[in-house]
Formats: sequence, structure tokens, C-alpha cells
Amino acid sequence: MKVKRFVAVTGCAAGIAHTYMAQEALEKAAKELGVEAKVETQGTIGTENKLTEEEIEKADVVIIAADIQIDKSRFIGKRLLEVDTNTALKDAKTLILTAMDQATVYSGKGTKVGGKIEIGTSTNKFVRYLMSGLTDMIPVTIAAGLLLAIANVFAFQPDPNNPDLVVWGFSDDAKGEFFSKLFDLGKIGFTLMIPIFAAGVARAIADRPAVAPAFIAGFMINDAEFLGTETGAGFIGAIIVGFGIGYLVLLLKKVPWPQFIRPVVPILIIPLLATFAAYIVIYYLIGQPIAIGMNSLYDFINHITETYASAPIIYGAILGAMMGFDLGGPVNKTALLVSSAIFIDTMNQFGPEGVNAIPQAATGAAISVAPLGAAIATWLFRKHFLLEERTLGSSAFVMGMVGVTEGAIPFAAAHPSLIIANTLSSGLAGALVAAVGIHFYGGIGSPLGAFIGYTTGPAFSWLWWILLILFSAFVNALLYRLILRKRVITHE
Amino acid sequence: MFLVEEKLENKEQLLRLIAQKAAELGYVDSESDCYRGLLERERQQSTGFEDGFAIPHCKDQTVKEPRLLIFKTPPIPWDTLDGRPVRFSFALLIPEQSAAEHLKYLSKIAKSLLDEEYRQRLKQENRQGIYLLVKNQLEEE
Repeated sequence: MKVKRFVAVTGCAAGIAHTYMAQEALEKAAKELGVEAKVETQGTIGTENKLTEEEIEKADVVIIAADIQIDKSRFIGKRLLEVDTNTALKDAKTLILTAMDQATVYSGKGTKVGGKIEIGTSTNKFVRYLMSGLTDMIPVTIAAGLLLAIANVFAFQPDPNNPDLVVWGFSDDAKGEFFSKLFDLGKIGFTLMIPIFAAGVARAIADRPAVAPAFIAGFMINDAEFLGTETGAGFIGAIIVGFGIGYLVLLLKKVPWPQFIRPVVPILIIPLLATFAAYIVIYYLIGQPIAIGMNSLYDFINHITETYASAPIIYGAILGAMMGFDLGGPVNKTALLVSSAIFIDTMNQFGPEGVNAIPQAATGAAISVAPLGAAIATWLFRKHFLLEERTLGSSAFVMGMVGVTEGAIPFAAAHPSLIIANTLSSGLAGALVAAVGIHFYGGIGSPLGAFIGYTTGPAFSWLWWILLILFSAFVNALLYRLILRKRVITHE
Repeated sequence: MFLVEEKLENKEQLLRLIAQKAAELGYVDSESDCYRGLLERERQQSTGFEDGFAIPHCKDQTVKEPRLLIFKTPPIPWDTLDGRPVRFSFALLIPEQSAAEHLKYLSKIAKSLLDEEYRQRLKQENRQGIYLLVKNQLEEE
């Protein structure tokens, strides 16, 4: 196919040198090849030579020569080739000829070009911001999660008063100390994961000045002690902080500050104002509602369980769904509190014969469904996940197998619509184990709980336990597939 | 415009020298910030061009106004597009915020290096000649 006309966009980090050199190189080469070209420059002084819709429409191919993210939503449906600026400088003629020959139609999904897998080529900038936070968070989740998962396996001891039961806690010897500290270390990682995610999102929106306030605010919104609540706001709080701080800083950057303080605006004024604003909003407007919300949610669920004592499937579904909803956040914690409170109350009242451990079975089964489902999804439906996410999938499996529900957070944080999948499938797990009548006396909330833990109920309750959890996790994977069906990643 | 006689082992040494000179001339507030900015840019992607030319640059708050420093040095090993060592470094100092017209000067200089004939002329000139060539280039149009 002979190309007569192409359009290009150039851009570089500083927006001074390579943006314009690439433009010059492309224009020169176009002239030598006898093709028509228009090159848009996205430099530090703004966009110049802006491509019109008509020019894009008429062009046979689009070339992007940039070292920075260029919004490609205008080019959906066009043949497009993306390279860095140096490629254009080195040999613009070959670049143009290659683009004519090999450029593929851009569909708005992630594409792999020039040996780099791009994260978040999505046309939706919100998704791009979330993906930026995800990239920062993934290594933290993996490192902290795996260490915590290992430690958690060693945390279950036989109950000295009842050999059928297990209690959670580390032994008093040197081994116990080692694993209890390892567990604490993992928890530090999980604590930091939230602000790191918030800071990553905020940085993608408003650049470096947003990092410090978002980090502090992300920590604050998840710190139960600071908020005076039972638990922090979890990853949903981190999303709120990331976007809140990001846009606030963007706004503060636009303020016409007097010349003499301008040099300290990004390092002093903006972080100071944004952090202070975060304090007011989070403490007075978010902390209180969480505390009040958790209390009323607790009462409500307690009430439901009593009302539907004869229909465990109903409260099982609700408790399970709550577990999967925010993965360790306030709703999840409330469900855990309710189920263990009912267990302890009925145990004290009626003893082991009359104890109601069905709510605990619902939450225990549901706790692992989200991370296991995410893992299965990354294995079965590879093309819908980035390489990083597939790595994360395997570590989510390990976390899921020992009942660490946080393993699914990065997926839900980057694609909030997956919360629907987690909630439904975790609810399914809760409903199923409750319907079958499984009592869970404690232990690892995962398929392994059948062995490191204690279940009663129907015959082969341990087998039911394993199968129902895995079934729900599989359903979760299918739901992930359904939700991410339009997101296709081209791998090498 | 600097003519450097002493041998520079690698581009880090040159970047250090650029930062040092920029600080001496009062073009930047902090020498170390300037060096860090230059280095950071190289890390993202080499600014080595071809034919012995490089365009190291630093975009940072420490830079007070847009400036160009030219260094003519003995050959420095550099990951350039054609693999040849660098003898001419056009160092650009770019503030975070500045008037567009000043920034355009810097862009214009960078662009002009694409012109092979212009590069040949730069190579043959002495200090005075290079200065005039750059100045004339900016005043064109």
C-alpha cells in the first residue's frame, strides 16, 4: 500500500529538544520521500501544529514518536505506529516506510510496540491513573503478602481446652517469635500499600507535588487509631485520596501565586495546603461516617442473622458478599466481627453442641474467594492481564490459600468494577456453605481450612468446604473475564 | 561556550562539569540539583545524538532561566545513535516555568543540529565562530 499522507505526534520529557528534533526529522524525511505530513508537537510550551479531525481522517497512517504518554483516543480505528523520539531521529525515513508497511489498526486497547509493554494505554484517563497506582503497589503487595502468608500458616495452634478446635496465635518459643514478627512485617507492608497506591494515583494526575500529601492522607484514611474507628477505610479510601489529592494539587498548581514564593510552591506550599485539607476532610468528614456506618452495619447484620436464623443462606450470602466487597476494609471487618461475635456468644451460651458457627463458615469461606478467583482468572484468561498482573495473580493464589483476602486488592483498586465480581462470588461462597450447613470453628479461611481448621455439618463437610470455595473462586474468575472482556493486552 | 582540554572519561564527568559551570555562572541555584536533573534525563533516555553531538538537558526548578551552554571536548564515550563518541555537547538548562519565546530558542538550537551542513560548519569553527553560528541561527526568520 502506498501512503501519500501521514500525521504524527511528537513529545519528550523536557518538551524542549527531542520533541522538536523528532518533528524536524519527520518533516524532512517526508519531504524527501515525497509524502505529505503534518507533525503535532506536544512540548513544554503546549501543543503546537495541532492535528485537526479532518487531517487525521485523511491520513493513511499515524506515527507517534514520543517518550511520554500521548493520548491516542483520537486515533482509534487508524493505523498507528508508536516509537520513541530517538527512533525518529536516527532514521526517520525508515520509520515512515515501516509505518506504511507494518502499522496496525489502533483499537484503543493496550498495545505492545518497540519492545515495551505499555501500561494503561486505555483511552480512559481514570483507568490510566489507577494503573499508575497499581504499578507502584504491586511489588509491595507481593513482598508483604507472601511473607505474611507464610507466617500465617504457623499462627494456628490446637486449642488446649478442646483438641477439635484451633486458635489463632503464635507459640511462645523462638519459632513463634520469628513468625509473629514476620507476620507484623507483612502487616506493615499492607499498611503502606494503601498510601503507596494513593500516592501513585495522585502523581499520575498532578505530578510530584501530589506525592507527599497523597501518601500522608492515604496513611491517615486507613489508620484506625487516627480516625478513632474500628478500622481504616481500606483501598476504597485510597482511591478517594488518590483522586481527591490529585485534583486538589492540580487546582493549586493553577493558582497565580506571587512571583517571590513561586519557587517553593511545589515543595512547600502545595504539600502543606493539600495535607492540611486532607486532615480536615478525612478526620471530620470521613472518619466519623466510617465509625457510625460500621456500628449501624454491625447492628443491621446482627439483626438479619437473628431474623433469618432458620434461613442461613440469606445471612450467609450477605456476610460473604461483605467480605469480598472491600477486602479488609470496614465492610469486610464488620462482617468478620459479627461472625466471630455470634460464634463466641453462642459458644458461651450453648457450648460446643449448640454453637452457631455458620456465620463464621460464611465469612471464612468467602475470605479467600476474591484472591483465588483473581489468580484463576490470570491463569485462564491471560490475554486480559498485563504481565505484572499475572505475576500478581500467582502471589494472590498463595495469599488466597492462606486466607489473606488483601491479595485481591490490586485488581480491585485498578479496576473498581471488579468489586462487583468479588462481592457476588464471595456472597455465593457464603450462601453455599451456609445452605449446606457447614459450621466453621476457626482456622485458615481458605480451602486449607479443612485441614488447618475445623469444620462440622454434613458428611464430608471438609470436602464440601473445599469444593464450594473453589467453585465460587472459579465463578469469580469467570466474572473477571466478563468484566474485562474488552480489555485485551497484546503480549510478545 | 566552553572549550575543554582535559580528557573526560565518561558522560557523568561532563554532566558534573556542566552543573559546575552552570552554578558558577549563577544560572542554577544548586549545582547538585542541576547534576541530578541532567543525570535523570540521561537515565530516561540517552541524549547522545549522532556525528559527535549530544544535547544533555536539565529541566528543574533549580534553573532560573533558559540557557544554553556549549562544550567542545575531547571525545567522550556515549550511547549515541550512531555509536560515535561525543565532542560537542549543547547543554540546555530549562526552568519549570518560562516564557514560551525563550524556550523556543532552545528548541531551535536543538532542531538545527539535525542539519548536517550546519554541523559540519560548527565542527570547523573556533570559539568565536561557533558563537556567531549559533547566534545567527537564532536570529534567522
